[in-house]
Amino acid sequence: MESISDGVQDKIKLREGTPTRTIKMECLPHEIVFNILSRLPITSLVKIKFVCRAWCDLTLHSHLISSHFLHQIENDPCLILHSDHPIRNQIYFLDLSADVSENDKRVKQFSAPPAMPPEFVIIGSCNGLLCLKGPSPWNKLYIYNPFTRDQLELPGSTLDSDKDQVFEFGFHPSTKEYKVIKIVYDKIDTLKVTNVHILTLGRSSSTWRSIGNLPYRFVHHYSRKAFVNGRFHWVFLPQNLVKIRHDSFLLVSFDLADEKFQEVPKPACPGALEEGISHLAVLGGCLAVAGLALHASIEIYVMKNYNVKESWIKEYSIGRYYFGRDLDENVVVSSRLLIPYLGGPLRVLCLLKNGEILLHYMHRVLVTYNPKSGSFKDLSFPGMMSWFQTFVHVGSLSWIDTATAATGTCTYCQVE
Amino acid sequence: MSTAATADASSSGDTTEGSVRLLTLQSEDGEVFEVKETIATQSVTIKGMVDDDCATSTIPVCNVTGRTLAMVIEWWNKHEIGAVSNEKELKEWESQFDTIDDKSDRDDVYDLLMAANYLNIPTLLDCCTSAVAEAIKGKSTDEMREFFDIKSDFDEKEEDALRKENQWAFEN
Repeated sequence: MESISDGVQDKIKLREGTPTRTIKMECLPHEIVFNILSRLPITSLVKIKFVCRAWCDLTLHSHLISSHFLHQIENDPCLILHSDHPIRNQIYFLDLSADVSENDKRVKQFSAPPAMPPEFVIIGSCNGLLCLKGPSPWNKLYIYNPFTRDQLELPGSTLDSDKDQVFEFGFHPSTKEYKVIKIVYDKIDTLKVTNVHILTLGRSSSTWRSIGNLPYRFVHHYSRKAFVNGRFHWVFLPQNLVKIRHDSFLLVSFDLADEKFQEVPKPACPGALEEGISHLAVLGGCLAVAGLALHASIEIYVMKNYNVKESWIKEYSIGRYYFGRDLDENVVVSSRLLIPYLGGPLRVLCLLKNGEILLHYMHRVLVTYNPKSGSFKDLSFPGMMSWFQTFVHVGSLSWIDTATAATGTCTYCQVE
Repeated sequence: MSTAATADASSSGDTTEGSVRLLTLQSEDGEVFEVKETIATQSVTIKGMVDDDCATSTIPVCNVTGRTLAMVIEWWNKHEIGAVSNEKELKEWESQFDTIDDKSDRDDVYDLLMAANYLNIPTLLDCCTSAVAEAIKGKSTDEMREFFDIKSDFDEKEEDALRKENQWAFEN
């Protein structure tokens, strides 16, 4: 103890007199400034940008943007929340990063995106960028960074009345390209031909190009997908399969680099992928399948080594969750955002740094599950809405062209 | 730096105390410090000079004042192996450097940052960058401007647009 009080003595002795000069942040060597700024939560980094022109310039350096991004993906994510209630079509965020100071631990609202139609849905989040889709029949797509408000409009995709389409947005770390994939299927009969189209971002002439037909039968209601290793993952059925059994479902990947579909080994449990009772997720960078089991419990299978069948293990068995409070029944949600609770009322969002699993219950409540104690905890933050869609996001100042530096090692990339 | 001070200091360079060699460091404002080589080589820059046999006369520490250099030496003394009995005690001692309570602390930390950068002292650099980051966290844009004595140089129209488009960033 003595030497500690000595230390305090030293402080007083050492700091007699005044510092010789006031050094301005922008005059410090860039390396130091970037080191400081990359430790900040995204909220503080955005605020830095608005202090003055010199500080704004600092935040535009691609070196800072990528080192901040790399710091953020080591941290707990920033959630993007899309809600229709109480105000229609609002985007909010909640930064769960440990760097966030107490008074920033609240749900905050973004101003409306510039030049965006008043109605939109969020397709997904990747490397700090959101992909949004405007209303039918134009179905225009937008890439949007809510923290910088940078926005890019992509060509729309009109549709025949008997067709419907799903979009996915992702990034491949080796080609360093962002791509949007579009699957166009028949509304009534999924045995009919399903077309696949690709749009590559960053090319001067971004247009949709067809890459042929889906070599599988599209599963209409399987609304959960996962993005791992530069590949999208869906659950499909074998082509031309008419009689569907609980073990017919296939785990299929689409590689954003070679643009090929490929079957991925599925968990040993035969019914693990069954439609309506399971959903895909990404846990700690690994592909996972969460399925409803007996008594409304959830079993989570995780593929520890990508594409290795034997590495699928049943890692978590989560008991039934009871929500302790009454849910607000007066929530008004447009059908646009209303996604049925396929795969059960609890949706797996991601693994947190403390080993807990972040879950979303009925689009109403954020819940963490502690696998060690087997207990749930409702997460409550000031400003939380009563109904919202959640997207696991990396709060970043990144844009399409900064991706070359940030290698896309993000373990959270996930699409609704 | 006055020539008299340099000449005076160089005569005392490269002395030894027992078996430990002493190095002579001279601050920008002419203050001279004698520091054990084993301690001063926590600076990667000084270690490089010692290894290249360039540390035989007075080492000028440009851009670092005597006041700051004294703090740096204090840091070295505490971080010498065996100086503090345990990690916890060291962390507690370091906490005086890693919290910025007022503008005087802020300028001290800035001075230390410049010194840690010039002398290449990774532990001190890490402590000070973390201190500045902690001081920024939780502050609104307006509070940052106040704390760092910065006047917004955006024109009125730009400032209005920033506030309107990023309302969340200006609220506390």
